[in-house]
Amino acid sequence: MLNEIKIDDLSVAIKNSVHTAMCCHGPMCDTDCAH
Amino acid sequence: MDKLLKEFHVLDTRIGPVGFHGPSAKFFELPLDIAATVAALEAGEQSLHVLPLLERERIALTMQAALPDEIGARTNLLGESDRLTGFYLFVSQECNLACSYCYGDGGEYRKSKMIMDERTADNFIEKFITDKNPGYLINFFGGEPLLNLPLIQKVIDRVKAKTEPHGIRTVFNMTTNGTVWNSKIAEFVDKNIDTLTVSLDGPKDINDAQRPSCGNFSSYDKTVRTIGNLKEQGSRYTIRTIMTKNSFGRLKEIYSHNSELAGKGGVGLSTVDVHDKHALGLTDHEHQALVDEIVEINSESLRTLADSDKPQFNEYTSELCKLLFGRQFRPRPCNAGQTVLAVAADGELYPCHRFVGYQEFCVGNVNDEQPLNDNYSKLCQSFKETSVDKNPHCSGCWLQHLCGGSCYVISHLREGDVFKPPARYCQLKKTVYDRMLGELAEIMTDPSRKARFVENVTGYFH
Repeated sequence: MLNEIKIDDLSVAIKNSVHTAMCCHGPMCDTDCAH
Repeated sequence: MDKLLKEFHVLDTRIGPVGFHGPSAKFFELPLDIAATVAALEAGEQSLHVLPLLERERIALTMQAALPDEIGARTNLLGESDRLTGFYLFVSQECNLACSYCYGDGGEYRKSKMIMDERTADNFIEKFITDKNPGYLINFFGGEPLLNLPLIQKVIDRVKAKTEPHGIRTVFNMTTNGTVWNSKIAEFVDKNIDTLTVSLDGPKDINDAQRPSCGNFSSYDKTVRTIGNLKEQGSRYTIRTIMTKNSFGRLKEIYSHNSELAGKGGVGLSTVDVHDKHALGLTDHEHQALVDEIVEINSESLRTLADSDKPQFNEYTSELCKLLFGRQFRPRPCNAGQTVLAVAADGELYPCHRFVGYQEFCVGNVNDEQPLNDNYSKLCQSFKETSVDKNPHCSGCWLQHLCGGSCYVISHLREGDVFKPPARYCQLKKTVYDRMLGELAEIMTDPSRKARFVENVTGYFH
């Protein structure tokens, strides 16, 4: 059996975050262009 | 069996070989023999079928047993909505700079200089801003949008008047070169613009060489003055930096220079998008050197999350956290044409700002009675249907679920196919993520570094 390296589930905090992606045109990446 | 193994990517880390499984975004410590087989298969050096049957079965069972029956609930980073809620408004297709690498053809976008008129802006608001959506995002774009400030003011006032009584929130952003500036504009931006993206390519000699003004002034001096003003008044802004031939060997200096000036929004780095023979185009050697520097910058950023009380997030660390710790995946490069459209100054509609001026991608005009034409449904449907796992150019790649594929326009221009990623794009993404995922695995096996990392990420995404 392989040993899994666990990572925390922070999905609630991240999903509810007001923080948006740094991107060429501001926080449009998630809704727009990923350069 | 081959399919399962190809979903794994072997990371070479200080704690030994680690297998990253793309669909589940899980990490596993790998025994050396299995790591060697998976790595060789990935590199195309060895067919699994030359291994003895028992050995094949042992590897298959080991890998299979490690994975959960269900991959787990990862959500779509781009959301599931197909309502149009994000718009680039090209209020000015004129510019006071003459950046030598401009993909917008000096703001003209393969047409001619023009600014958006009130009728076009009003038609956009009438046809696309309704009381049916919970929110909108409008990015004022150009050319240089601040050359048409009166229209921007009118659009903001009219959109707010139409939406706010219904409790609808609209985010207003702007992408600017930061050289059209005075105290009145500063006050307007502070009051009305949520995030400003300011373009600056690093120290003065680099910036002014590739971002010359149309008049007799240094774009660097004016932009840096504007950034100082934004910092002073506490506005939210990001700095957009284009990496060109001039950046070769100086990327860390450029990044450090712009990071000093950047606010909390940070610095976004983009590779120049010009043909290879262009004076600022990168040779393969220069591109590889830039990739190496990008890897170092992102690796240092990632380490600050685990080893410092002053974490430095940048594009890749932020994206990686959202994807892995946020349990998300990126099914397409972006939401172009799905939730986003660009409105050119003459009212023409395109799937995003990068498509503007390429007539074969025009999907309508806000000044027509029916603003969206048949091309819209055809194009947007093909974007929707060709998710990364259905795209033959990407579906065999271990990184597909984090990457989402390459920018449609850059793929179209370089490869003649919106769905075919240029080799350099894949090289950049794979190299950066290979290093960052490996370092992340190391951090996650060290309890004190892991605790600080989680604390910093939680603090950042509050």
